Amino acid sequence: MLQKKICMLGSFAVGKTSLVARFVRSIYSEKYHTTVGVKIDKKQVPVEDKLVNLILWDLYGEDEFQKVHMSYLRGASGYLLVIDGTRRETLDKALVLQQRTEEAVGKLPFVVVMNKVDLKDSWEIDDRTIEELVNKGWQVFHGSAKTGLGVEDAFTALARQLV
Amino acid sequence: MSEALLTDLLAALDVMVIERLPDSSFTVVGNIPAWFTWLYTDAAANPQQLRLDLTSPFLENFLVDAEAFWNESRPGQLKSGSWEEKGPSGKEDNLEAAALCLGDRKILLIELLGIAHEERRRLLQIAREKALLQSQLIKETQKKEILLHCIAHDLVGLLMGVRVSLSLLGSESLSPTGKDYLTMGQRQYNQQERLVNDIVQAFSAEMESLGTFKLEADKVPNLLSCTRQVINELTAMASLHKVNLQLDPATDCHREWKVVGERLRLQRVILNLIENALRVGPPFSVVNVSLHDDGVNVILTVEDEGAGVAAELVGTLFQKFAPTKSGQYGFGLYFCRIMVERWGGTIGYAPRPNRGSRFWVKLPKFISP
Repeated sequence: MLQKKICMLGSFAVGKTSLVARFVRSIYSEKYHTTVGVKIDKKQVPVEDKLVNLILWDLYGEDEFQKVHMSYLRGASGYLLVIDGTRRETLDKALVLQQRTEEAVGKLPFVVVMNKVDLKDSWEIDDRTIEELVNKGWQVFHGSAKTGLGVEDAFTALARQLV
Repeated sequence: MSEALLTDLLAALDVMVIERLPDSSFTVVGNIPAWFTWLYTDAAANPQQLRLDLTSPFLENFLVDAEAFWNESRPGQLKSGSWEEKGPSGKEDNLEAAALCLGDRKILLIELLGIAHEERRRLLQIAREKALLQSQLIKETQKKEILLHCIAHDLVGLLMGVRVSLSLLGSESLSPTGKDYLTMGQRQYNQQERLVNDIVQAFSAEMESLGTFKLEADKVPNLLSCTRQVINELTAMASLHKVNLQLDPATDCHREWKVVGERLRLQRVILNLIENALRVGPPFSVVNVSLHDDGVNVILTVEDEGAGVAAELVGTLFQKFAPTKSGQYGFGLYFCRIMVERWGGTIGYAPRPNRGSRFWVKLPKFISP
Protein backbone atom coordinates (compact mmCIF):
# COMPACT_ATOMS: atom_id res chain seq x y z
CA MET A 1 0.00 0.00 0.00
CA LEU A 2 1.17 3.49 -0.77
CA GLN A 3 2.22 5.47 2.31
CA LYS A 4 2.26 9.26 2.19
CA LYS A 5 3.32 11.64 4.91
CA ILE A 6 1.23 14.79 5.11
CA CYS A 7 1.95 17.70 7.44
CA MET A 8 -0.58 20.09 8.87
CA LEU A 9 0.79 23.62 8.88
CA GLY A 10 -0.61 26.90 10.09
CA SER A 11 -0.75 29.42 12.88
CA PHE A 12 -1.97 28.42 16.33
CA ALA A 13 -5.70 27.91 16.88
CA VAL A 14 -6.56 27.74 13.18
CA GLY A 15 -8.02 24.26 13.61
CA LYS A 16 -5.33 21.86 12.38
CA THR A 17 -5.96 19.29 15.11
CA SER A 18 -9.71 19.65 14.69
CA LEU A 19 -9.45 19.06 10.95
CA VAL A 20 -7.46 15.87 11.55
CA ALA A 21 -9.94 14.74 14.22
CA ARG A 22 -12.83 15.39 11.86
CA PHE A 23 -11.13 13.62 8.97
CA VAL A 24 -9.80 10.61 10.87
CA ARG A 25 -12.37 10.09 13.63
CA SER A 26 -15.36 12.18 12.47
CA ILE A 27 -15.38 14.06 15.75
CA TYR A 28 -15.22 17.70 16.74
CA SER A 29 -14.80 19.43 20.06
CA GLU A 30 -15.74 23.07 20.69
CA LYS A 31 -13.01 23.36 23.30
CA TYR A 32 -9.71 24.79 22.14
CA HIS A 33 -6.92 22.44 23.17
CA THR A 34 -3.54 23.70 22.08
CA THR A 35 -1.07 21.28 20.52
CA VAL A 36 2.41 21.51 22.00
CA GLY A 37 4.32 18.80 20.16
CA VAL A 38 3.59 16.58 17.20
CA LYS A 39 0.67 14.19 16.88
CA ILE A 40 0.66 11.51 14.26
CA ASP A 41 -2.49 9.92 12.90
CA LYS A 42 -3.20 7.59 10.04
CA LYS A 43 -6.03 7.19 7.63
CA GLN A 44 -6.47 5.15 4.53
CA VAL A 45 -8.15 6.82 1.61
CA PRO A 46 -9.07 5.32 -1.74
CA VAL A 47 -7.68 7.29 -4.64
CA GLU A 48 -8.89 6.03 -7.97
CA ASP A 49 -8.09 2.30 -7.83
CA LYS A 50 -5.45 2.58 -5.11
CA LEU A 51 -5.61 2.64 -1.36
CA VAL A 52 -3.33 5.30 0.11
CA ASN A 53 -2.26 5.30 3.73
CA LEU A 54 -1.98 8.91 4.81
CA ILE A 55 0.35 9.52 7.76
CA LEU A 56 -0.87 12.83 9.12
CA TRP A 57 1.64 14.88 11.07
CA ASP A 58 -0.27 17.42 13.07
CA LEU A 59 2.37 19.99 13.96
CA TYR A 60 1.89 22.52 16.73
CA GLY A 61 0.81 25.92 15.52
CA GLU A 62 3.52 28.45 15.10
CA ASP A 63 3.50 31.57 17.24
CA GLU A 64 5.86 33.67 19.31
CA PHE A 65 6.31 30.80 21.77
CA GLN A 66 7.04 27.95 19.37
CA LYS A 67 8.62 27.89 15.93
CA VAL A 68 7.97 24.89 13.73
CA HIS A 69 11.07 22.75 13.18
CA MET A 70 11.42 22.36 9.46
CA SER A 71 13.04 18.96 10.05
CA TYR A 72 9.54 17.65 10.83
CA LEU A 73 8.73 18.12 7.16
CA ARG A 74 11.44 15.74 6.04
CA GLY A 75 9.99 12.96 3.93
CA ALA A 76 6.63 14.70 3.60
CA SER A 77 4.82 14.15 0.34
CA GLY A 78 2.56 17.13 0.80
CA TYR A 79 0.95 19.42 3.31
CA LEU A 80 -2.25 21.17 4.28
CA LEU A 81 -1.87 24.87 4.90
CA VAL A 82 -4.60 25.87 7.31
CA ILE A 83 -5.92 29.41 7.66
CA ASP A 84 -8.57 30.68 10.05
CA GLY A 85 -10.86 32.85 7.95
CA THR A 86 -11.86 34.87 11.00
CA ARG A 87 -8.27 35.93 11.73
CA ARG A 88 -6.53 37.85 9.01
CA GLU A 89 -3.12 37.40 10.63
CA THR A 90 -3.29 33.62 10.14
CA LEU A 91 -3.16 34.18 6.38
CA ASP A 92 0.05 36.16 6.76
CA LYS A 93 1.52 33.39 8.91
CA ALA A 94 0.44 30.75 6.37
CA LEU A 95 2.17 32.64 3.57
CA VAL A 96 5.37 32.81 5.60
CA LEU A 97 5.17 29.11 6.51
CA GLN A 98 4.56 28.13 2.91
CA GLN A 99 7.63 30.06 1.84
CA ARG A 100 9.77 28.56 4.62
CA THR A 101 8.53 25.08 3.77
CA GLU A 102 9.47 25.54 0.14
CA GLU A 103 12.90 26.77 1.14
CA ALA A 104 13.40 23.84 3.49
CA VAL A 105 12.07 20.89 1.50
CA GLY A 106 11.43 22.26 -1.97
CA LYS A 107 8.15 22.42 -3.83
CA LEU A 108 5.64 19.90 -2.52
CA PRO A 109 1.98 19.45 -3.36
CA PHE A 110 -0.26 21.24 -0.91
CA VAL A 111 -3.78 22.50 -0.47
CA VAL A 112 -5.04 25.47 1.48
CA VAL A 113 -7.94 25.06 3.87
CA MET A 114 -9.74 28.28 4.75
CA ASN A 115 -11.16 26.89 7.96
CA LYS A 116 -14.14 28.06 10.04
CA VAL A 117 -16.41 28.65 7.07
CA ASP A 118 -19.28 28.09 9.54
CA LEU A 119 -18.33 31.55 10.85
CA LYS A 120 -18.27 33.14 7.41
CA ASP A 121 -20.03 36.27 8.66
CA SER A 122 -17.02 36.99 10.86
CA TRP A 123 -14.40 36.39 8.21
CA GLU A 124 -11.67 38.97 7.88
CA ILE A 125 -10.30 37.58 4.64
CA ASP A 126 -12.09 38.85 1.59
CA ASP A 127 -12.86 37.04 -1.63
CA ARG A 128 -10.35 39.11 -3.56
CA THR A 129 -7.51 37.87 -1.39
CA ILE A 130 -8.66 34.27 -1.73
CA GLU A 131 -8.89 34.79 -5.46
CA GLU A 132 -5.28 35.91 -5.45
CA LEU A 133 -4.28 32.67 -3.77
CA VAL A 134 -6.16 30.75 -6.43
CA ASN A 135 -4.48 32.87 -9.11
CA LYS A 136 -1.14 31.74 -7.74
CA GLY A 137 -2.22 28.24 -8.68
CA TRP A 138 -3.05 27.22 -5.13
CA GLN A 139 -5.92 24.87 -4.50
CA VAL A 140 -8.09 26.53 -1.88
CA PHE A 141 -10.87 24.79 0.05
CA HIS A 142 -13.42 26.47 2.26
CA GLY A 143 -13.78 24.09 5.17
CA SER A 144 -15.16 23.67 8.61
CA ALA A 145 -13.85 21.16 11.11
CA LYS A 146 -17.02 21.89 13.07
CA THR A 147 -19.52 20.94 10.39
CA GLY A 148 -17.20 18.74 8.35
CA LEU A 149 -17.79 20.81 5.25
CA GLY A 150 -14.94 20.57 2.77
CA VAL A 151 -12.69 18.55 5.08
CA GLU A 152 -12.82 15.24 3.21
CA ASP A 153 -12.55 17.11 -0.08
CA ALA A 154 -9.37 18.91 0.98
CA PHE A 155 -7.57 15.77 2.19
CA THR A 156 -8.74 13.75 -0.80
CA ALA A 157 -7.66 16.45 -3.23
CA LEU A 158 -4.21 16.44 -1.69
CA ALA A 159 -4.06 12.64 -1.73
CA ARG A 160 -4.93 12.73 -5.43
CA GLN A 161 -1.99 15.01 -6.07
CA LEU A 162 0.28 12.50 -4.37
CA VAL A 163 -0.45 9.39 -6.40
CA MET B 1 30.11 4.25 38.63
CA SER B 2 29.30 0.58 39.00
CA GLU B 3 27.01 -1.00 36.46
CA ALA B 4 24.48 -1.88 39.17
CA LEU B 5 24.33 1.72 40.35
CA LEU B 6 23.98 2.95 36.78
CA THR B 7 21.13 0.53 36.18
CA ASP B 8 19.40 1.66 39.37
CA LEU B 9 19.93 5.30 38.47
CA LEU B 10 18.45 4.89 35.01
CA ALA B 11 15.53 2.96 36.46
CA ALA B 12 14.92 5.74 38.98
CA LEU B 13 15.03 8.38 36.22
CA ASP B 14 12.59 6.28 34.19
CA VAL B 15 14.47 7.18 31.02
CA MET B 16 14.98 4.79 28.14
CA VAL B 17 18.70 4.73 27.30
CA ILE B 18 19.74 3.34 23.96
CA GLU B 19 23.18 3.06 22.47
CA ARG B 20 23.77 3.21 18.79
CA LEU B 21 26.40 0.61 17.96
CA PRO B 22 29.03 0.93 15.22
CA ASP B 23 27.08 -1.53 13.05
CA SER B 24 24.15 0.96 13.09
CA SER B 25 22.04 -1.25 15.33
CA PHE B 26 20.61 -0.09 18.64
CA THR B 27 20.84 -1.74 22.02
CA VAL B 28 19.23 -0.93 25.32
CA VAL B 29 21.39 0.23 28.21
CA GLY B 30 20.01 -0.81 31.58
CA ASN B 31 16.44 -1.93 31.84
CA ILE B 32 13.56 -1.03 29.58
CA PRO B 33 11.09 1.25 31.39
CA ALA B 34 7.61 -0.19 31.70
CA TRP B 35 6.07 2.64 29.68
CA PHE B 36 8.31 1.86 26.70
CA THR B 37 7.19 -1.77 26.65
CA TRP B 38 3.61 -0.61 27.03
CA LEU B 39 3.85 1.80 24.12
CA TYR B 40 6.18 -0.17 21.84
CA THR B 41 5.64 -3.83 22.65
CA ASP B 42 7.11 -5.11 19.37
CA ALA B 43 10.22 -2.96 19.55
CA ALA B 44 10.82 -3.89 23.17
CA ALA B 45 10.79 -7.61 22.37
CA ASN B 46 14.48 -7.63 21.53
CA PRO B 47 16.46 -5.19 23.71
CA GLN B 48 19.83 -6.20 22.29
CA GLN B 49 18.80 -5.57 18.69
CA LEU B 50 16.25 -2.82 19.25
CA ARG B 51 14.12 -2.12 16.19
CA LEU B 52 13.49 1.61 16.43
CA ASP B 53 11.70 1.49 13.09
CA LEU B 54 8.96 -0.35 14.99
CA THR B 55 8.45 2.55 17.38
CA SER B 56 7.24 5.74 15.82
CA PRO B 57 7.54 7.63 12.53
CA PHE B 58 8.48 10.65 14.63
CA LEU B 59 11.47 8.86 16.15
CA GLU B 60 12.50 7.53 12.76
CA ASN B 61 12.51 11.09 11.48
CA PHE B 62 14.52 12.31 14.46
CA LEU B 63 17.13 9.60 13.99
CA VAL B 64 18.22 11.29 10.75
CA ASP B 65 19.10 14.44 12.71
CA ALA B 66 20.57 12.35 15.51
CA GLU B 67 22.90 10.53 13.08
CA ALA B 68 24.23 13.84 11.82
CA PHE B 69 24.68 15.00 15.40
CA TRP B 70 26.57 11.85 16.42
CA ASN B 71 28.73 11.88 13.32
CA GLU B 72 29.87 15.40 14.06
CA SER B 73 30.41 14.51 17.75
CA ARG B 74 28.75 17.78 18.71
CA PRO B 75 28.77 18.83 22.35
CA GLY B 76 25.59 19.02 24.40
CA GLN B 77 22.50 17.25 23.25
CA LEU B 78 20.06 17.42 20.38
CA LYS B 79 16.45 17.35 21.45
CA SER B 80 13.66 16.12 19.25
CA GLY B 81 10.85 18.21 20.65
CA SER B 82 7.87 16.41 22.09
CA TRP B 83 5.52 14.06 20.33
CA GLU B 84 2.37 12.33 21.38
CA GLU B 85 1.98 8.60 21.47
CA LYS B 86 -1.21 6.67 22.04
CA GLY B 87 -0.92 3.46 24.03
CA PRO B 88 -3.06 0.32 23.57
CA SER B 89 -5.65 1.70 26.02
CA GLY B 90 -5.98 4.88 24.02
CA LYS B 91 -4.25 6.98 26.69
CA GLU B 92 -2.06 9.70 25.21
CA ASP B 93 1.49 10.14 26.46
CA ASN B 94 4.09 12.70 25.47
CA LEU B 95 7.66 11.70 24.81
CA GLU B 96 10.85 13.47 23.94
CA ALA B 97 14.10 12.07 22.61
CA ALA B 98 17.61 13.45 22.87
CA ALA B 99 20.82 12.47 21.13
CA LEU B 100 24.16 12.91 22.84
CA CYS B 101 27.72 11.73 22.63
CA LEU B 102 29.54 10.23 25.59
CA GLY B 103 33.11 10.08 24.38
CA ASP B 104 32.78 8.08 21.20
CA ARG B 105 29.60 6.38 22.34
CA LYS B 106 26.39 7.48 20.66
CA ILE B 107 23.49 7.64 23.03
CA LEU B 108 19.79 8.14 22.49
CA LEU B 109 17.57 8.98 25.44
CA ILE B 110 13.80 8.72 25.34
CA GLU B 111 11.86 10.28 28.15
CA LEU B 112 8.23 10.02 29.09
CA LEU B 113 7.26 13.60 29.73
CA GLY B 114 5.31 14.10 32.88
CA ILE B 115 4.17 16.98 35.02
CA ALA B 116 6.69 19.49 33.64
CA HIS B 117 5.38 18.92 30.14
CA GLU B 118 1.78 19.17 31.25
CA GLU B 119 2.63 22.40 33.04
CA ARG B 120 4.24 23.75 29.89
CA ARG B 121 1.23 22.76 27.83
CA ARG B 122 -1.06 24.45 30.31
CA LEU B 123 0.98 27.65 30.20
CA LEU B 124 0.98 27.66 26.42
CA GLN B 125 -2.76 27.01 26.45
CA ILE B 126 -3.29 30.02 28.71
CA ALA B 127 -0.90 32.20 26.71
CA ARG B 128 -2.58 31.32 23.43
CA GLU B 129 -6.07 31.75 24.79
CA LYS B 130 -5.03 35.14 26.10
CA ALA B 131 -3.46 36.07 22.77
CA LEU B 132 -6.71 35.13 21.02
CA LEU B 133 -8.74 37.09 23.52
CA GLN B 134 -6.52 40.12 23.28
CA SER B 135 -6.70 40.14 19.51
CA GLN B 136 -10.48 39.76 19.67
CA LEU B 137 -10.72 42.52 22.25
CA ILE B 138 -8.70 44.94 20.16
CA LYS B 139 -10.89 44.25 17.15
CA GLU B 140 -14.09 44.53 19.16
CA THR B 141 -12.95 47.77 20.78
CA GLN B 142 -12.21 49.28 17.40
CA LYS B 143 -15.59 48.23 16.08
CA LYS B 144 -17.27 49.56 19.19
CA GLU B 145 -15.51 52.90 19.00
CA ILE B 146 -16.63 53.37 15.43
CA LEU B 147 -20.12 52.06 16.12
CA LEU B 148 -20.62 54.40 19.04
CA HIS B 149 -19.75 57.36 16.88
CA CYS B 150 -22.07 56.18 14.15
CA ILE B 151 -25.03 55.46 16.44
CA ALA B 152 -24.78 58.84 18.09
CA HIS B 153 -24.46 60.55 14.75
CA ASP B 154 -27.37 58.68 13.18
CA LEU B 155 -29.77 59.09 16.09
CA VAL B 156 -29.22 62.80 16.33
CA GLY B 157 -29.42 63.22 12.56
CA LEU B 158 -32.72 61.36 12.23
CA LEU B 159 -34.27 63.24 15.09
CA MET B 160 -33.33 66.56 13.55
CA GLY B 161 -35.18 65.47 10.43
CA VAL B 162 -38.32 64.68 12.45
CA ARG B 163 -38.14 68.05 14.21
CA VAL B 164 -37.87 69.95 10.93
CA SER B 165 -40.81 67.97 9.49
CA LEU B 166 -42.98 68.67 12.52
CA SER B 167 -42.07 72.32 12.42
CA LEU B 168 -43.01 72.52 8.72
CA LEU B 169 -46.27 70.75 9.49
CA GLY B 170 -47.00 73.32 12.22
CA SER B 171 -46.72 76.13 9.70
CA GLU B 172 -49.54 74.60 7.64
CA SER B 173 -53.19 75.45 8.34
CA LEU B 174 -54.28 72.30 10.10
CA SER B 175 -57.74 71.25 11.23
CA PRO B 176 -58.29 71.14 15.03
CA THR B 177 -57.87 67.34 14.88
CA GLY B 178 -54.73 67.78 12.80
CA LYS B 179 -53.37 70.21 15.42
CA ASP B 180 -54.10 67.63 18.12
CA TYR B 181 -52.19 65.03 16.16
CA LEU B 182 -49.32 67.47 15.67
CA THR B 183 -49.20 68.18 19.42
CA MET B 184 -49.19 64.43 20.02
CA GLY B 185 -46.37 64.04 17.52
CA GLN B 186 -44.37 66.85 19.12
CA ARG B 187 -44.86 65.29 22.53
CA GLN B 188 -43.59 61.98 21.19
CA TYR B 189 -40.71 63.82 19.58
CA ASN B 190 -39.78 65.51 22.87
CA GLN B 191 -39.80 62.16 24.65
CA GLN B 192 -37.73 60.64 21.91
CA GLU B 193 -35.28 63.52 22.03
CA ARG B 194 -34.82 63.10 25.77
CA LEU B 195 -34.23 59.37 25.30
CA VAL B 196 -31.75 59.92 22.50
CA ASN B 197 -29.92 62.57 24.49
CA ASP B 198 -29.65 60.16 27.39
CA ILE B 199 -28.26 57.48 25.10
CA VAL B 200 -25.85 59.85 23.42
CA GLN B 201 -24.67 61.09 26.80
CA ALA B 202 -24.16 57.54 28.02
CA PHE B 203 -22.19 56.76 24.89
CA SER B 204 -20.25 59.98 25.22
CA ALA B 205 -19.26 58.96 28.72
CA GLU B 206 -18.08 55.66 27.35
CA MET B 207 -16.25 57.36 24.51
CA GLU B 208 -14.66 59.59 27.10
CA SER B 209 -13.32 56.55 28.92
CA LEU B 210 -12.16 55.00 25.66
CA GLY B 211 -10.64 58.30 24.77
CA THR B 212 -8.72 58.78 27.97
CA PHE B 213 -5.11 58.58 27.01
CA LYS B 214 -2.32 58.76 29.48
CA LEU B 215 1.20 58.33 28.21
CA GLU B 216 3.34 56.12 30.38
CA ALA B 217 7.03 56.83 30.01
CA ASP B 218 8.01 53.16 29.97
CA LYS B 219 5.46 52.35 27.27
CA VAL B 220 6.29 55.07 24.78
CA PRO B 221 6.21 53.49 21.34
CA ASN B 222 9.10 53.66 18.95
CA LEU B 223 7.63 54.49 15.57
CA LEU B 224 10.46 52.80 13.72
CA SER B 225 10.14 49.48 15.54
CA CYS B 226 6.32 49.61 15.21
CA THR B 227 6.69 50.26 11.48
CA ARG B 228 9.25 47.51 11.08
CA GLN B 229 7.04 45.05 12.89
CA VAL B 230 4.08 45.88 10.67
CA ILE B 231 6.20 45.66 7.53
CA ASN B 232 7.44 42.32 8.73
CA GLU B 233 3.89 41.11 9.30
CA LEU B 234 2.79 42.28 5.87
CA THR B 235 5.77 41.10 3.86
CA ALA B 236 4.03 37.90 2.91
CA MET B 237 0.88 39.79 1.96
CA ALA B 238 2.98 42.15 -0.17
CA SER B 239 4.54 39.23 -1.94
CA LEU B 240 1.08 37.78 -2.57
CA HIS B 241 0.08 41.07 -4.18
CA LYS B 242 3.46 41.18 -5.96
CA VAL B 243 4.13 44.57 -4.42
CA ASN B 244 7.53 45.59 -3.14
CA LEU B 245 6.93 46.81 0.42
CA GLN B 246 9.90 48.69 1.81
CA LEU B 247 11.03 50.91 4.58
CA ASP B 248 12.59 53.86 2.82
CA PRO B 249 16.33 53.14 2.63
CA ALA B 250 17.02 56.76 3.61
CA THR B 251 15.38 56.21 7.01
CA ASP B 252 17.81 56.79 9.84
CA CYS B 253 17.62 53.52 11.75
CA HIS B 254 20.21 54.48 14.35
CA ARG B 255 18.25 57.19 16.11
CA GLU B 256 15.24 56.93 18.38
CA TRP B 257 11.80 57.52 16.90
CA LYS B 258 9.78 57.73 20.08
CA VAL B 259 6.37 59.32 19.69
CA VAL B 260 3.28 59.99 21.73
CA GLY B 261 0.86 57.12 21.27
CA GLU B 262 -0.05 53.58 22.25
CA ARG B 263 2.04 50.86 20.71
CA LEU B 264 -0.70 48.37 19.78
CA ARG B 265 -3.05 50.97 18.38
CA LEU B 266 -0.21 52.73 16.60
CA GLN B 267 0.67 49.45 14.94
CA ARG B 268 -2.99 49.09 13.94
CA VAL B 269 -2.92 52.56 12.38
CA ILE B 270 0.25 51.76 10.42
CA LEU B 271 -1.20 48.38 9.47
CA ASN B 272 -4.36 50.00 8.11
CA LEU B 273 -2.40 52.47 6.01
CA ILE B 274 0.01 49.90 4.60
CA GLU B 275 -2.74 47.33 4.00
CA ASN B 276 -4.69 49.91 2.01
CA ALA B 277 -1.58 50.73 0.00
CA LEU B 278 -0.96 47.05 -0.72
CA ARG B 279 -4.54 46.56 -1.85
CA VAL B 280 -4.44 49.38 -4.38
CA GLY B 281 -0.82 49.01 -5.49
CA PRO B 282 -0.59 47.31 -8.89
CA PRO B 283 1.66 44.26 -9.27
CA PHE B 284 5.38 45.06 -9.36
CA SER B 285 4.84 48.50 -7.85
CA VAL B 286 6.44 49.82 -4.69
CA VAL B 287 4.87 50.76 -1.39
CA ASN B 288 7.36 53.01 0.35
CA VAL B 289 7.16 53.73 4.05
CA SER B 290 9.30 56.53 5.42
CA LEU B 291 9.88 58.42 8.65
CA HIS B 292 10.81 62.08 8.93
CA ASP B 293 11.37 64.51 11.72
CA ASP B 294 10.30 68.14 11.55
CA GLY B 295 11.78 69.03 14.90
CA VAL B 296 8.55 68.84 16.88
CA ASN B 297 6.79 65.93 15.23
CA VAL B 298 7.62 62.67 13.59
CA ILE B 299 5.93 62.04 10.26
CA LEU B 300 5.21 58.60 8.91
CA THR B 301 4.45 58.50 5.21
CA VAL B 302 3.02 55.61 3.22
CA GLU B 303 3.20 55.98 -0.54
CA ASP B 304 1.74 53.69 -3.14
CA GLU B 305 1.60 53.63 -6.92
CA GLY B 306 -2.11 52.92 -7.22
CA ALA B 307 -4.71 54.98 -9.02
CA GLY B 308 -4.96 57.47 -6.16
CA VAL B 309 -8.12 58.60 -4.41
CA ALA B 310 -10.88 60.03 -6.59
CA ALA B 311 -11.15 63.80 -6.13
CA GLU B 312 -14.76 63.60 -4.91
CA LEU B 313 -13.76 61.22 -2.10
CA VAL B 314 -10.78 63.13 -0.76
CA GLY B 315 -12.83 65.46 1.45
CA THR B 316 -14.54 62.65 3.32
CA LEU B 317 -11.73 60.14 3.34
CA PHE B 318 -11.26 60.13 7.11
CA GLN B 319 -14.91 60.37 8.06
CA LYS B 320 -17.15 57.58 9.27
CA PHE B 321 -19.34 56.14 6.53
CA ALA B 322 -17.10 57.87 4.04
CA PRO B 323 -18.45 57.07 0.60
CA THR B 324 -15.95 55.03 -1.35
CA LYS B 325 -16.02 53.52 -4.78
CA SER B 326 -15.00 50.07 -3.71
CA GLY B 327 -15.14 50.15 0.07
CA GLN B 328 -11.36 50.04 0.16
CA TYR B 329 -11.00 52.72 2.81
CA GLY B 330 -14.17 52.08 4.84
CA PHE B 331 -13.86 52.50 8.58
CA GLY B 332 -10.13 51.95 8.72
CA LEU B 333 -9.11 55.51 7.98
CA TYR B 334 -11.74 56.86 10.34
CA PHE B 335 -10.24 54.71 13.06
CA CYS B 336 -6.76 55.99 12.15
CA ARG B 337 -7.93 59.58 12.45
CA ILE B 338 -9.60 59.21 15.84
CA MET B 339 -6.56 57.40 17.20
CA VAL B 340 -4.00 59.85 15.84
CA GLU B 341 -6.02 62.84 17.05
CA ARG B 342 -6.32 61.24 20.46
CA TRP B 343 -2.53 61.34 20.68
CA GLY B 344 -2.43 64.97 19.61
CA GLY B 345 -1.41 64.21 16.05
CA THR B 346 -2.85 64.69 12.60
CA ILE B 347 -3.40 62.49 9.59
CA GLY B 348 -3.76 63.41 5.97
CA TYR B 349 -3.72 62.45 2.35
CA ALA B 350 -2.18 63.99 -0.73
CA PRO B 351 -1.99 62.64 -4.24
CA ARG B 352 1.50 61.95 -5.51
CA PRO B 353 2.70 64.09 -8.42
CA ASN B 354 2.59 61.37 -11.04
CA ARG B 355 0.47 58.53 -9.78
CA GLY B 356 -0.52 57.08 -6.47
CA SER B 357 -1.38 58.17 -2.95
CA ARG B 358 0.57 59.53 -0.04
CA PHE B 359 -0.92 59.07 3.41
CA TRP B 360 0.87 60.66 6.31
CA VAL B 361 0.57 60.57 10.07
CA LYS B 362 2.13 63.35 12.12
CA LEU B 363 2.70 62.52 15.79
CA PRO B 364 4.28 64.60 18.53
CA LYS B 365 7.78 63.48 19.41
CA PHE B 366 8.10 62.07 22.88
CA ILE B 367 10.23 64.29 25.06
CA SER B 368 11.53 62.73 28.26
CA PRO B 369 10.30 64.63 31.30
